[in-house]
Amino acid sequence: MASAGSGDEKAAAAAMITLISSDNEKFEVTEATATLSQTIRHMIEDGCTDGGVPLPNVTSKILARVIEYCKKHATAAAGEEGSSSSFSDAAFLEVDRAFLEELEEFDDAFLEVDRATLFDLILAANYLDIKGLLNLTCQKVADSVKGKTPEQIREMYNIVNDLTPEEEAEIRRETQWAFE
Amino acid sequence: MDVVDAWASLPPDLLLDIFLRLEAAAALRCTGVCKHWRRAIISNAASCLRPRRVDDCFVPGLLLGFFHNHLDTHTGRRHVMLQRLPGPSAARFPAASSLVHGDATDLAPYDELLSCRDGLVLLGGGRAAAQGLCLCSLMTGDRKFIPAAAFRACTYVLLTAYDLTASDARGGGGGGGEELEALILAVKEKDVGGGVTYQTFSTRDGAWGEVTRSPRFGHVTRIYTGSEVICRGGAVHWLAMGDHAGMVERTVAVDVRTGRTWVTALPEGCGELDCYGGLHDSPLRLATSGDGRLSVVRSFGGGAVEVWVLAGGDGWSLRRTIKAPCCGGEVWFSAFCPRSGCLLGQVGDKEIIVDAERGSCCLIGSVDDTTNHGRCLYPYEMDWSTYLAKMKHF
Repeated sequence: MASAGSGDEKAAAAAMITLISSDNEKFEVTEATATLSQTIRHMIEDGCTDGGVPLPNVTSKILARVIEYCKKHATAAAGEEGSSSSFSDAAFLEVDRAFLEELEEFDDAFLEVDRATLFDLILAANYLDIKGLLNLTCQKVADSVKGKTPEQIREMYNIVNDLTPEEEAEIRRETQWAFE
Repeated sequence: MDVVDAWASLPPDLLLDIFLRLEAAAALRCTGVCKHWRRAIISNAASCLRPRRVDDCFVPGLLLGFFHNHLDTHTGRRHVMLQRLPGPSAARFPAASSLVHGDATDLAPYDELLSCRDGLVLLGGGRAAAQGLCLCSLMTGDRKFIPAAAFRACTYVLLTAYDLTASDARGGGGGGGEELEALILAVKEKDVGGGVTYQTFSTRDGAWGEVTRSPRFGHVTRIYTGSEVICRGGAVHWLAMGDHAGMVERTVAVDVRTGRTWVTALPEGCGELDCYGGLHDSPLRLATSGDGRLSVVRSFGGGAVEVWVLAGGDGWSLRRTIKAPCCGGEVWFSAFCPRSGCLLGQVGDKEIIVDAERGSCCLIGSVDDTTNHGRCLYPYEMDWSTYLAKMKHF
């Protein structure tokens, strides 16, 4: 269950961090994975990670997804560093491109989640300060809102309309050009 | 259970992170979703407009339409007409409407558009000559009456706080949007060879500065009204006519902040024009690049449009060549829109919008400017932050 990071031969050598979700589940991850989060990076720098890092704002379900994202992106970052010395420039670029393509595919698949999960991922990315993940999830919402009317947006995100018909009419008047 | 209101209660800074990725029209539609979203957008109006990033200043959604000056040949009366761009669903331009309606009696004498920028228009007019100029915000209806410049036969250029603070990416849009903050540059059109005569009015000081005459230039005789662009930092450039009538090989620039004046040679071969009268409508047009540098857009026939950018000093580099749709002839440009980065042009009887920064082109039907007096088109681009800031809180 709490096996994130195990099975990796190098893991034993690398420093491991324990993350504790709001429902008290423990996740073991490498420091390289954990420090994609600026929040955790600061905690490590301050030396307050002994006995695990409690993350009271993140459920185990979401934390598992976040770790999945961080592992992939930490590997990609490490891969780039590692490969640069041993390949010629052309080969390096080739590898680099393959990496990026794979990463893009991963990100696309990663975002195939329901609205509630997407919402929780945004909050978690914000709380943990993971720029790439916040960027990815916010862009996903922005893309989904493009070209939609307020009614469609409300329906898509389960938002209760708290505007009166008069206020709505007023909004339509002042933003008429945007609806044409 | 908590999912139901979750999206409505996302913290404002996170909502903003999402809205800032949207173009203006889409973000505006989000103000109609619920009160929380609306407040998040309206109270952060200042950060919703450019400059967002130094290397990406153009926001295509800001372009709303075009103004032109209209002369009714029967009554001899003039009006400023506004024609909105067709929305994505409409194929035709809606009919032009008069900017100043009958009820705005104090504006009635100001029947000629002289310059416009960021939702501010500078109006003058034959009948108002004695009274001077009127600076008017289309978003708020605020207006300021200003005396005319100290000399006649001049051209006016409006600069706003965005132009003057754009050198640091965070400065723009400041001032709370409460005051009309603008700078008006008046320049004598003719006899530029002996030095350009100019004067500036700042709304902050509320008065015109001294009339200044620059050192001699040589090789230029006059500047073309309506050809001007404003580069980052407050340098205004006009196309200038050379010693041979119709030859346009240089720009004349005035930097409103430093008072520096200079001449810049255009890329070779750009300036051989056989038109004489005005340059409101020409295959050559000044523009700015996304990072605020002077740029030249030139059509050479066959639908090909070249975009040149000033690389420093007098060195130009060819940024790209754009192939205009509906092949054939030269593209005649009638306006550069500084906030959206688009150029309005005409090929045959069709209007096109050319995005010189991204290299795209689209047909937009035809503009009804048969009544256009002076043949000048002025872009109507919204000051997004003022617009938002003036929206109602619910």
